[in-house]
Amino acid sequence: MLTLPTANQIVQQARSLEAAIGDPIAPAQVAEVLATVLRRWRDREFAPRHATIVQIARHLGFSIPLLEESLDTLLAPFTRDALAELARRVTVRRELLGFVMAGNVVGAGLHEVVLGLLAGAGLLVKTASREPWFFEELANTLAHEDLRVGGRLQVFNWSRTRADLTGVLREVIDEVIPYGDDSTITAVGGGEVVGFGSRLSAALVTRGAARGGQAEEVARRLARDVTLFEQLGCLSPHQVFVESDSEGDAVGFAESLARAMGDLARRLPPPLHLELEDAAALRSVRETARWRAIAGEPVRTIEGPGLSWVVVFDRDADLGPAPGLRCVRVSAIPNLADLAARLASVRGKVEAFAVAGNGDNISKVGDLLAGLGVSYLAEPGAMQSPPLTWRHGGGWFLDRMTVGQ
Amino acid sequence: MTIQEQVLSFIHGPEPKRFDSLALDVFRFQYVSVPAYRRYCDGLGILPENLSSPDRIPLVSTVAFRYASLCAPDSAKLPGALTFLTSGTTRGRQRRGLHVVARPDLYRASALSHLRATMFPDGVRMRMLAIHPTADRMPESSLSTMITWCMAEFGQGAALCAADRSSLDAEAALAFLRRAAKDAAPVCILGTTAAYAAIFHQLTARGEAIALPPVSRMMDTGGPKGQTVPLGAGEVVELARDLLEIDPAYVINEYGMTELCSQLYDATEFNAPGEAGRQRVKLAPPWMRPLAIDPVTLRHLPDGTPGLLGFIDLANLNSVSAVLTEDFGVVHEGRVRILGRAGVGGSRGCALSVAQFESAARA
Repeated sequence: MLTLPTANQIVQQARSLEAAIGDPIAPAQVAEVLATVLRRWRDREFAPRHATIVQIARHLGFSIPLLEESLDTLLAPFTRDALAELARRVTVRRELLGFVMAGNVVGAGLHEVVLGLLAGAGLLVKTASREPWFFEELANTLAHEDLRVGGRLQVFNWSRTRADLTGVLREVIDEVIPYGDDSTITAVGGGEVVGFGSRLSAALVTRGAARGGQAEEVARRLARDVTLFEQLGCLSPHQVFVESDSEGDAVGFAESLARAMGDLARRLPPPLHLELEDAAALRSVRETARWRAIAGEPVRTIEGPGLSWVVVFDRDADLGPAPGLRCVRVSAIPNLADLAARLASVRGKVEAFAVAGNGDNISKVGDLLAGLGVSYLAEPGAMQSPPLTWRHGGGWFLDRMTVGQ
Repeated sequence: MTIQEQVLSFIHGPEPKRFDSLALDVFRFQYVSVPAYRRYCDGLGILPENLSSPDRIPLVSTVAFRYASLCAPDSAKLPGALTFLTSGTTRGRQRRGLHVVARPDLYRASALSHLRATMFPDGVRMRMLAIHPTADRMPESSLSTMITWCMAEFGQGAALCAADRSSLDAEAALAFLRRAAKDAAPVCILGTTAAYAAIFHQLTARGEAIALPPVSRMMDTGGPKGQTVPLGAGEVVELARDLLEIDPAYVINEYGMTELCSQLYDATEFNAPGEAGRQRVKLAPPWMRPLAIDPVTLRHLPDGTPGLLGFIDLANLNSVSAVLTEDFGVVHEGRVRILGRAGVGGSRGCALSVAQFESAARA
């Protein structure tokens, strides 16, 4: 049962965290505990995980199959070996960190929480009002597994409107690390703060990869990247660029992607109910595309029933955010130089790119995207499983908590 | 009678029982005369001959006015035709919508008839102050055209337009109001909420209040558009009372848009006796049917259920009458409560939201 903390409880927990981090534990030992805990959480039958997913499904309206697969995908890289490797790289930091999590995306922030625990920090996590369950249950599992490590993770929930409690959090910890939109970061940080602001991701199908049997497989994998987490995370692709001299390749890829989105919607059902604001945004995307097409613009809409999913072929579109909830654009680019131009308006806001193609192409793309501030490249289908060394938000937190290889 | 004459006749002498059949006739007319609308209907598989109720007339999103020509070919070239542009300020970089009004007589009849019912039910004519540019200064603004018609139809004595397309001359407006107060001559003020905010700010900064005579009145429109810190509807009423001594029942907010030839106005004790003390709702004219629409199914929602606002506006005869807006609202017994602007999505996770992106782009 989640209860609103008092200011005094936050202060008490911060003192308790201070005491906990005064009792050093070797990073390798923390890694071992975390490996056990996260292995349990990868098991769909694990009762706390199941209860968490049921709660989230009930309150956010997401389907259980979607949540199960999203969480599986997020947790997949947290293997014993990966945790042990990261433990070898962390710099020990006896400090108190306050994480202010974003809602809607189950488990968002887990990479930083794990990193903080491995480094020996004490973590006070404020969960989002819309999703207060995951970190609460994870902390319970951790405490059950190992009281000393568990004592370094305390989880609270209060609304962002409770500025008084957020103020107390700022006072009792060494640093606040907020996730979410700019207004959240400003509200939480009270001014000078670095956080994980909202970002978006995209995909590139390089020359040749949009044709033949390979294209179907790429489309199937990208559809999964789009669908997981209902496209609300910073690793969710909003747009797919298809490199080709022929517009037909991009249109054909949009059709393949639409088929894959439809298939996935049957296996991972979309939300049964949409909030009015979300439904209106999704409606607006469809109507805009429909009328641009009627007006003769190179736009085409391929959609599922209701507002379940939509692929909008928008040949000349720059990269921009979609409303999420399985709404993805496909655009055509003649070459990589054109891709750079299409990303100009969101420079510094792109978290990741999935890139499909052969090795030479990917290498060129990597250099180009790195120059545009994109630090995480993934294969299609793997976007939502970033490695533990993911340079989230440009890597500032990872750099702070680790030493280079 | 032609369909034009039928609609004009309905505006001048509404017969509510005829609305449904006339709406279907209007739809048939528009299906034939507006090629883009016909393509849209065909795409949905909806043909006029298969419709027996206006409930299934396809609604055209207001976004369509940004991209498609929603009028008969060459309408804009007809003598007297007016072409209006949306302000394009509320949604960032998107292009401006365009509404060709091929028959301004219908628009004029609609605008003035409902103004008469809601702003001038007492039949009083008075001095007029426009704090938004009139049509000669901003011909592409449908609001400017409406204000110009209103001033000509209901004005008497002195009149002033204190705004051009780039600025408001608050000093001139205040001087006009002071003179009216001195002459004990009632005034009707017409403009955007943002312009009122500027006037109220001037008065507040000076610690001044102007005691306008009884039955003075004001129409504001546009809501938060153009305001850094938007005035709420209640604040407008209070400030008008405190700074201009306008009776709250005579402070009437208009809800309209370039894409519609008819407007809605607040119901108050002045134009709808019995409204005193009730939460404000808006009155549509009899030739306009407000609807709350489910954005998922595009079906009409039951009375009292929040949805996207849609309208069947017969005065839009020469473009498209069934319009789906990007505003939320509730419709109850034909009255409308506006809930706010839609279209950018609800709470996001850590993904960049459309709202944030547009906000950054504007900055």
